[in-house]
Amino acid sequence: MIATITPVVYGSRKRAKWAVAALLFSTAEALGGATMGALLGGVGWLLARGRPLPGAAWWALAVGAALYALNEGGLVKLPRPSSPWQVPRGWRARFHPWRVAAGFGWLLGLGVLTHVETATFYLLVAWSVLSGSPLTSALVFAGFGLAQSLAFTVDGLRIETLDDTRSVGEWRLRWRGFVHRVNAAVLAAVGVFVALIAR
Amino acid sequence: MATATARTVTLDRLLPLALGGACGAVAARLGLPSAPSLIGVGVLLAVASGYSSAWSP
Repeated sequence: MIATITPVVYGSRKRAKWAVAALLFSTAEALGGATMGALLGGVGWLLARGRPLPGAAWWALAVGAALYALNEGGLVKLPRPSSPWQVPRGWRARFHPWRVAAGFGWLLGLGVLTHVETATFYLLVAWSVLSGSPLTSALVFAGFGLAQSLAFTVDGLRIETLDDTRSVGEWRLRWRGFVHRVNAAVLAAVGVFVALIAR
Repeated sequence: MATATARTVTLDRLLPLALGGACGAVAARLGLPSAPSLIGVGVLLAVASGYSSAWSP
């Protein structure tokens, strides 16, 4: 993914242009996340009809987190629905880089249109529905977009050439396993925590 | 040799789960009210999944 994003968002060697593109990208990511969060929270609100969801729903989240912690740790196989779609590379030739940065940011911020890297995302989707609040869910899901854009912004600070893009991509590949272990730990923590406070 | 490798692999996979589970138990013991805690859970999931998405190929 980084090879598609960086030429647009971070291709300029002029730091002022880079900063504007990065800001547009991050803002659009947060808005994309907020859009998806509001939709999912709205679904939860409709299902619960404004009333708080029963404790059983949170128990289901705890069980889901525990199962996907095992999956993320490579111990059990579970379905991992994901879209093979990618942000349209053609936009890079058709539109101004800032417009593309904003467009890519919004699409990636939605989260569901592109590849789902870790199972933590499924739990975020479930949490958003269970929250039953479009506003709370929008604010929290905006954090997904912001965190994703932060990772790319950190990369952008290191990238000036195509070789830099390649080396950052290789670095990410080397640390991919570790990232999945961290997500397994996060899911285990969420599973135990929610199970204990939802009693 | 193969047994030692299998043991290392299993430990490598189980350790994050044990650490995460222990952290979750300690956090629950701190006794925060459930509503803000559940929002905290959402924020943790959002930040972890968002930052990890950048590792997507």
